[in-house]
Amino acid sequence: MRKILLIGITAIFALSLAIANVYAGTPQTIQTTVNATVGSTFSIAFETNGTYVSYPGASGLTAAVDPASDLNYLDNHSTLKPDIGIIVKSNENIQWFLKTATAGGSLAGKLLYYLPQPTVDGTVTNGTLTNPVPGEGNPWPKIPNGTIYTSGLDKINTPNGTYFGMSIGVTGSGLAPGSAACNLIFTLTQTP
Amino acid sequence: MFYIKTLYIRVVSLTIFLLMAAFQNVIALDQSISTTMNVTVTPVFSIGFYSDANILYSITVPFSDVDPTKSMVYPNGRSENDGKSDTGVVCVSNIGDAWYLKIQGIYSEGIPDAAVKYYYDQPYNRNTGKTADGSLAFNVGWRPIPKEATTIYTAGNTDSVNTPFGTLSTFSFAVDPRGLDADKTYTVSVTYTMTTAP
Repeated sequence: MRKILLIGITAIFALSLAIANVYAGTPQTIQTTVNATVGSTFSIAFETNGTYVSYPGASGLTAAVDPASDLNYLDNHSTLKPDIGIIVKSNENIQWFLKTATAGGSLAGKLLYYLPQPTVDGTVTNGTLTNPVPGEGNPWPKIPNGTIYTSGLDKINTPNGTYFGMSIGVTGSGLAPGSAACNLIFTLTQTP
Repeated sequence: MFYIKTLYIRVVSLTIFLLMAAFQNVIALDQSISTTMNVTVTPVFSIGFYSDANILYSITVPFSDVDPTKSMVYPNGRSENDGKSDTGVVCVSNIGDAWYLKIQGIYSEGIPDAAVKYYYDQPYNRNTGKTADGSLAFNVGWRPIPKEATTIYTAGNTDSVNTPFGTLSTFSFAVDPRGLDADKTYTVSVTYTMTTAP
């Protein structure tokens, strides 16, 4: 009886030790696999917040042009913020280019621009501006039919994209009196 | 049969997957946005004085001490062939019509008609930095300042619209003192006119 009791106690003790080993010993792990499909982003849009630009959505660009001046600002131009904003987003991990073009009307070829180095989340990028920022009092370059910016490390710039703050001017050179207009086109492309 | 159908479905799925993977490496389509610029251009038709280091005067050209022994006396600070001019005028136009530059002298009493002369050469298009493409009315040389408004230059095709910087004409003046009284002050008021009337 005593032996049985002793054996029972021993067995219980051994079982306890085994259970203790389970809790205090070998790590137990389980795992799961996360599968995520990332969508492709390759987009361009105008800034629509009037806090940041003088022309939200780049809408309603107008100017009163003095033909004797080689630089006329837009009507609502401010020294405190750019005229328009352009936001480029890409996660394609391929170099991209921002291009401009003017088309239609007698104003084509008469537009000038001022474009500082763009930013991603407030930090200037290491991409390349085709035309360096003109110094104080220096002439603004003409808006070309071509590339104005080549991406650097911001070839991937999601989620918030690369931000361009641009101001636009008009040269009075050769403009006849009256009204003039043109379309200003911004293109995001991976083609140099 | 079920096995073959399953295999077929798996092959199709794999093919679709491979095609999708292939399209990931194709250049993304260009994305464009556009806006429209509208401007109002004011007309300009103006003439004004211009000066720089080589154009010494504007509203007054002084001859303080005319040497009566000479036949040609230049303004103060000037000498023959010194590369400078006495006055400069800039004509600016965007109205698209040909314009004319005229000159006229109003003489004070006692000045012989040929006593005060001007020299005028081909003007400059300040937008191109080259000589303007218009026509001089007279051969280059010293000429008496006419008493009637007289065309000396007709704008060309390029400088009929010459904004923003205009066309620059420069003038030099000289006095022939023969016939002028000593210790007397003489005045010629020179008027420059820009006009679309020939």
